[in-house]
Amino acid sequence: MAHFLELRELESCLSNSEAKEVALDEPVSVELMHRLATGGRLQYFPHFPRPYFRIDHPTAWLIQGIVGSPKLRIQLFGDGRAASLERLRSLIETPAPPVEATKEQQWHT
Amino acid sequence: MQTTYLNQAATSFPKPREVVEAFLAWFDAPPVDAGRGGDIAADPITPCRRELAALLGVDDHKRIVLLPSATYAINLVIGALVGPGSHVVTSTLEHNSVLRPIAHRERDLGATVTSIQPDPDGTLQARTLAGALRSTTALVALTHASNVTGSIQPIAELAETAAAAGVPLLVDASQTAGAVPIDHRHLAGRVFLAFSGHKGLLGPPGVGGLVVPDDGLPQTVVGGTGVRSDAVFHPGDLPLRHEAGTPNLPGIAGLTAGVRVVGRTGVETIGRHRAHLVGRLRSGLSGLGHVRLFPLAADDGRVGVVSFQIAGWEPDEVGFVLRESFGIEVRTGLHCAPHALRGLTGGPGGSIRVSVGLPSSEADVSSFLAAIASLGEH
Repeated sequence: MAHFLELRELESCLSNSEAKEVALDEPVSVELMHRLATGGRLQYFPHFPRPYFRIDHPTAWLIQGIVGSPKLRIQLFGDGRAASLERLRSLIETPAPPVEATKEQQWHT
Repeated sequence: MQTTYLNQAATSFPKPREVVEAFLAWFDAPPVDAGRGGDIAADPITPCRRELAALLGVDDHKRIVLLPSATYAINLVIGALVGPGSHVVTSTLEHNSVLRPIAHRERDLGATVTSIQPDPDGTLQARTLAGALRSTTALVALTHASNVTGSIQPIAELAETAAAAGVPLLVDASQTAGAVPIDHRHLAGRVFLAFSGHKGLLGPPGVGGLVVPDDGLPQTVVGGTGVRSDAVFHPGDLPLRHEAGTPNLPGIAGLTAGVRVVGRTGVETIGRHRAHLVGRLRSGLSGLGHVRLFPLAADDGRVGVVSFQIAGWEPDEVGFVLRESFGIEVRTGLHCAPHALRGLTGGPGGSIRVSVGLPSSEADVSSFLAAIASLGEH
């Protein structure tokens, strides 16, 4: 089970960017990636030298990460960003059994 | 994972061994009078001025003012020459190091600004500049080469146009010093030339400078110089006229070594190396259906910059993936030049910028092209 270690704002070229970086205490696993994809669309690139994934949740967040890396890049959307962040923290920190994702939940590339 | 560094337009890496050794050597010996009035043999500053003067075609090395950065140099000129009611001509290609000092003069002093646009090929035309000049124009401030598109500007023609109107020209040579031949003595009129020390000149960050055409630029930063301490006012003669405070001596020592590497290698040789790698990059990228490559004249490959977008991928995401998954470092976004791509993208969208320099290799380019090809495989 992973835990949040740190959350920091990421400055980018655009003033309206609200990207953040989440540091975890252990590397992101494939299981955690699938768990984070619940309710969203997962794009997974396992053929890259370090497997990259992107999760678009239409109303809550965009998550980008590398399987095997202990950090995530996130952008929160909408009015309930604080709640989304807590939900994300809960998803990361709550142990859950591996879930076989459905076709609707995933889009593997 | 080993990093493939292709962000040479931001700062050169790796620095030549001579630069690192010169930088570190400064810490191994007691400083001698900060290079001002002390032992000639231990003076690290004058050799730097001489090397730079030779490289940039400046007759008198005392007209090389050493400063913390090109941005600082640009601020000195704009701050001194653009006053209340002044008119300034600049361009849409400029970096924020030019745009922001001008914007602050506009906001704070009521200066007015005309921003000229390049032709579709990325070139600022002398006729366009001529049409923008007014009787109240106090300064023309233009880049020598865009840090976003890599387009090199016809600076000799632009200088002639400014000179004909009696207006000083400030050239931002951050991307060209060390990569494109510069001959300051043959530029018409009153030309200030700002340069960065840590890009094409291969020095450490924290040092850059300004070539001044004369001793007429009003002083805006004054203070201690280590000499003539009994005088009420800051020395008015060059180069101290514009240098105040303890200089960045290890940085200057490193810059001197970097300029010597550039001089020994040859600016034209470096330009050819960059242009060759840019040619490979452009050829490889143009064959990928998911890549939208921004236009560039063949000769402008000497700047070492290629800008592009990828269908279905935001530039920032590409930067993240290249760094984290492939170990490749590039620059993404607006590149501190927020208007440069508007004419090409039709909006404020950014780009992926890959940039090569003297340290870049064929293998770097191959790794990069393979990675970009992978991004299209889905």
